Order: sequence, then C-alpha cells, then structure tokens
Amino acid sequence: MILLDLFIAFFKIGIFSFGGGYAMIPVIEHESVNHGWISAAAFADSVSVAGMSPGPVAMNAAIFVGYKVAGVAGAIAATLGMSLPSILIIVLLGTVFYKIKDHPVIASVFYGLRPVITAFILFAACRFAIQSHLVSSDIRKSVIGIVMLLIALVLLFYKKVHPLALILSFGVIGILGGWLMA
Amino acid sequence: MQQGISLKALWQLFFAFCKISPVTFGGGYAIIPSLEEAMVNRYRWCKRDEILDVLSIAQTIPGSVALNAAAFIGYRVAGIPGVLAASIGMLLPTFLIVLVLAVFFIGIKDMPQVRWALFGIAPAVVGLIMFAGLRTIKSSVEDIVCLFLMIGTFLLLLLTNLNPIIILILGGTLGGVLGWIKYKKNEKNKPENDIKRHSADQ
Repeated sequence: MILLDLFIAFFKIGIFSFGGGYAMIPVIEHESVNHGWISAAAFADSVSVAGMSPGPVAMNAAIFVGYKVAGVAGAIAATLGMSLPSILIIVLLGTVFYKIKDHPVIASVFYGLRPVITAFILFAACRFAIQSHLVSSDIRKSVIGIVMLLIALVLLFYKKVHPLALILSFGVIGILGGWLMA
Repeated sequence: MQQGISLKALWQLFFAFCKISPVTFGGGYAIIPSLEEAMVNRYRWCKRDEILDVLSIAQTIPGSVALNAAAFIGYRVAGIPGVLAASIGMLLPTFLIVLVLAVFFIGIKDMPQVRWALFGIAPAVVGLIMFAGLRTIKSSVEDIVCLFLMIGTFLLLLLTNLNPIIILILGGTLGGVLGWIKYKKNEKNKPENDIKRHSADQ
C-alpha cells in the first residue's frame, strides 16, 4: 500500500536526519527517485518550493513528495513518518538525555558524525545546483547562475537577508530575465 | 509525571507552537528568539538558561531543531499528551502552507514564467543550503581528522552510487571510533602533561 510505503520510507529518513534536516535532502531524493515516486528534475522543483515555505526544508520536501504520490493522505503519511522518530526519541530519552549527552562515547560519536553531516549538507547544495540546471552544459546560463549564487551567499553572510526575501527577489529577477530575453 | 494535565495547558502548548511555527524559515534557528519570548516570558514553561539545554538537545537528536524543541518542551510541561499538542502545533501551520504551495505549484509548473522564476530561485536555494552547511563547519571540523572525514564523505556521495544512509552509518561509525581513540589518547596524555608542567614549574 502506497501510504504505508511512504510512511516507512520517511520514517527511515527521519531516524537518520541529523543536522536539522538539510543533510537529508540527498537521502530523500535517493529514496523517492528509487521508489519511482518523482523524477530527479521534479525533485529539484520540490526543493525550490520547500525553500519558499516556513519549516524545515527537508520536511517540506517530504510533504511535497507525499502529496505528489498520494494527495493529502500521502502528505500526511510522509509528515508523520518524518516526525515520528524524533518524537519517539524525546519521549524515550527526554529525561535522561541531559545526563548522557556529555558521556565520552556519545561525545565521540558526535565528534565523528558532525563532519559527515556537514559533507551531506554541502553535497545537497551541489546536487541541487546540478538538478536544477543551475550548472549545466549551457555555459551562458551557468555563468549567470554562479554569479547569482555568489550574490546570494554575500547577501546571506554579510547582510543577513531573510531567506524568503532572498527567494522571492531572485524569483522576480528570474521572471524579468526571461521576459528580457524573449 | 505531572498529575491532572489540564486541557487548558494542552491548548496553550498547541497555540503557542502554532504561532511560532510560521517563523521557522530556513532551518530551525530562526525560532530561538520567539521560542524564548513565549516559553520564558509569556508561559513560564522554562527558565532562560534552560532554553539553551532544550536547544542543545534539539540539535543533537535527529529531526528538525524546531520540532524537537517543541516536542521536548511539550514533554516537560504535560508528558506525552504535551508532546502531541506541541508537535501538532509546530507541524500544522507549515504543513498547510506547503500543501497549498504544492497544489498551486503543480498546477502552474509548466508555464514559462514559472520556469524562469525557478531559474532565478535556484541560486538562492543553493545559497541557503550552502550557507547552512558552511556555518556548521566551525563546530563540526575540529581538527584534521574531521576535515578528512568531511572530504571523504563528500567524495563518496559525489562519486559512488551507494545509498546515502549507508554512507552516513559508515562515516558516523568510523568517525566515532576515531573520536574515541582521540579521547583515550587525550586522557592518557593529560596526567603526564600535568606532571611535566609541574616539574617545569619547580
């Protein structure tokens, strides 16, 4: 049954979503594309839409994929799957977690896990750049895309621009650019 | 666990997190100020310094920081019913917003203007994800071992078709073992260093 498949796939992803969720974008893509739920190009679209909404990008992408596969019920199944692992962990460990957080074994695991998660997030960025054709064989488009990416990074690092403002203004620039070229 | 959890407390949890939820743009960190305002000043569910503990736990366990923080506070205020009230409160608004966007988007996605808008949005989204990743480097890459772990993981993701979850488990296990070796080495060296320093002082 498709709803159960969605729930199980996103439950599995939920268990591993360390690092606030961005790191899970490649994992969600792998699962969704392998299940034949969405094409890689359509997944890139869903990440763009996910970025426009409040809430964690990975969770939003999960909702989008769930909706595309099985409507509102699919979106609910994906959301429950994605959020249940963390809720269960809180209920099971919530009270003792204070004490074990600084235990040497736990600290060692996180020492090693953190750089792995960073690599996942940076890979998610590169992967999205390719899937959304930001970087492609079209040299002219790629140059424009990379210049816009550098502008976006400067705005985020030095001007602390709100993510939604960034996305909306870049969307308007894209429409204007398309209109000028036509 | 608290006795006689009132329905009022559950509603308060639900509404408090409903209001915080739409603020959580681009990862969970944006919620910290509004979380503090509601939890500490308004409802007095926790003290100011406890917010830091809540956040450090929320960042450590899997899942989104915002949802974890909500579930944890819900648990402390009203046990398992509190977890449910707070989590649903946190999830519902963004769920509805994404759903509306998804329905709307699927209807218009092939219009040329939409394709152009997405072409403009792509660098912004890549920038947001990179920004999130680059910001974690400061706390995640402590030494050269971490740097190699990061680069190795990145190359595995880029060059192989392995299931990313396998890569995560492999990398996390290897990193954990290396972290443990580092911890043991530090522990062995520590007393010696102290002794050396002592003798140098004398």
